[in-house]
Amino acid sequence: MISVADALLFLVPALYAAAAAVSILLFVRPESGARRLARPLLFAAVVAHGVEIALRAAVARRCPLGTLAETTGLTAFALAGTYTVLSLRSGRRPTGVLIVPLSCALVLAYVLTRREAGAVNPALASPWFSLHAASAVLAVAALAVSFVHGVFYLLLYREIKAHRFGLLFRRLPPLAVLSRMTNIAAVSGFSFLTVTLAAGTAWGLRSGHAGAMLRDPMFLLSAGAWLLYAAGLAVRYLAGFRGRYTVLLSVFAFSLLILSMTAVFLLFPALHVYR
Amino acid sequence: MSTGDALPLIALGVDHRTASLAVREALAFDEERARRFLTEDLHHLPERMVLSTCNRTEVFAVPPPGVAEPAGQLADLLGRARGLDLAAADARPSVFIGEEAVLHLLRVACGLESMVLGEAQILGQVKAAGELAESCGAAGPVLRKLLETAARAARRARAETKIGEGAVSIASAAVDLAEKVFGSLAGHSALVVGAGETGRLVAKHLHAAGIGTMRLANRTLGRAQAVAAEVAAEPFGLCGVPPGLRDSDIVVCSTSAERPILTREEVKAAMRVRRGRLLLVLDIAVPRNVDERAREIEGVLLHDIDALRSIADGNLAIRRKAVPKVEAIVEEARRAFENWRKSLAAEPTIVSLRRRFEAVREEELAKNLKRVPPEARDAARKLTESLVNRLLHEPSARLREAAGEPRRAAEAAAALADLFGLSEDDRG
Repeated sequence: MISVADALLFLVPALYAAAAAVSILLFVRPESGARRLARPLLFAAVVAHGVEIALRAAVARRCPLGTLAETTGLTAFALAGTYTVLSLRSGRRPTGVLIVPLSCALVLAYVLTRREAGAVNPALASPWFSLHAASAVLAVAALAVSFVHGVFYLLLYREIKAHRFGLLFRRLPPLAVLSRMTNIAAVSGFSFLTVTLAAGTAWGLRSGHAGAMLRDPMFLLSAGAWLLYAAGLAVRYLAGFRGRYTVLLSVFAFSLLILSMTAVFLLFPALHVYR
Repeated sequence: MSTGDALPLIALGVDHRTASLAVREALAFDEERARRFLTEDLHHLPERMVLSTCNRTEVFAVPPPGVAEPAGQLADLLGRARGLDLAAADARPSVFIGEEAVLHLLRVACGLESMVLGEAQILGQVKAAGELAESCGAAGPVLRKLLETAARAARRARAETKIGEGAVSIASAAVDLAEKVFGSLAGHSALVVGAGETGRLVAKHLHAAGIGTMRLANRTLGRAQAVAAEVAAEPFGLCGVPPGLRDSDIVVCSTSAERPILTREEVKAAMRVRRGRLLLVLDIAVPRNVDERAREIEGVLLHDIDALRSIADGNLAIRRKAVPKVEAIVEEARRAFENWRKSLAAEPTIVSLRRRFEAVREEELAKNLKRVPPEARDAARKLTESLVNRLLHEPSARLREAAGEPRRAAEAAAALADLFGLSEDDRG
């Protein structure tokens, strides 16, 4: 199994690189004949990457999030996978110009650093912790896809409002499509974030870390982002509001989430470490 | 058809560059008149076709051999059929002969000769002209091959270049913008205010783009009803416009009112009810129909005629840039048609060769088939057919290829005639 996974380590980055090149090419030259290759290439990359992750997880008998490299690889897979599913709704104008190259860069980072892995976190032996960690990665990926489409929406809205009909006007899908993609990804991300917080809380209560979690800025800021998303989705789906403000809320909530994660990792690295 | 000489094809007609609107109107054909023209006035021509659109009326014909001044005769017939004295009307039809006529039809089909560069409808109109000629028994090998070549070139031009990029008229730019905001218009509603020519045109474009529901408001209800009937819209008077903003996604204003008919307050009040849903307001009237300050309201995308014109101009510039690429496609198509025409010179030899092989095949089958079990006879027939086809494929292809060079073609034909004993009569 490992030899197959090792062989895939060559194929996966190559497929991602090809998919990223096609995504960029299609943004620059949308009429390019490479259009037909975009989805099959990305799909092949995601499938091959999924097989590689599954094989390694099966051999290691744990969630493939034991090291930073593994987390990077799974994040790339989740990003590309979410975008692949979502791109079925983007119509003739693909929006992978940022997400696919980003996934490619993360995969390259994973491939180049995976042998320098440190010790595996023993907490991964707990199914609750594994669920928490895996759904956190999926949540971040889905919310990142939502964020990117939200930013595209805001840029295009500003262009149209200002009567500027330039590159973004010609390249991006319609506002309604971007809004729908932003919201579908936000709903998926919100669902995974809910699972992340619930599984993390369950694991904290069972392992005696509940007190520490209440002082964990990552947990508190994630809960804050969850509330923002919940409010945004309620405004959209329960009160029937549409338009720029609901998109802005998604963009703001993701910015908060990422800023909080970055700040915690940089400023208080010890506060979100559980074993 | 003689294949060694110049192509006996004539294209004659008028378009937006060569004739006034009055002349184009007078020479236009509807389907029934075109059918009569093809079957009665032009029945003496072996191949003929009429292409009649808003901006052009052209006749494509292959005249019989030996006709003096065929273009002059065709012009007379065209004028007579439409009751117009071309000389008196100072209308000088353009005439394209042989290769020029081929090139002209290819350029027309690709949208290079259209009033709106790269417009998409022309290919359908060319195809329809071909179908009409076919149904009248007026199409022949030259026109059929030319139409097929033209259709392929036009499809390539649209797929491989930006000749059809975006909208280039105000009405289509309005629909383009609506689609850029809402995507598919099927689930959306439009309110068109003003049933004049511009309003009617935009309503028609919205209808063609598949708008979900449309309402049409006008100062005089009778006019609103007349236009609404054309575009499956609901007609009503101007007093219904401000309330109509609440449940319309696209509002098009094109009345001749001197003052704004929609104030900022009215738009703002509508937006409060719309709960953030975008409202696209296209004010294509001069003077403007919508208070300019409405543009500042959140969720309102207000565009005037200048904004729409800038979309149209931008797209037109892109189309103009694509012209050299389309011309290269046209040139390739012209060469392909020319090669096909030259290859026709080889047909008599190929037919003769095939006849000879078929005769041998039949003779051998007749002699030997009785020795074959009945259940295997069909298979034996198919086997011999396949054998003959395989054997003849390569020499046929080589003969067609050589047809472009008269000396080489004559040598090849003579060699085959000598080797296989083909008579001069056989070769036509």
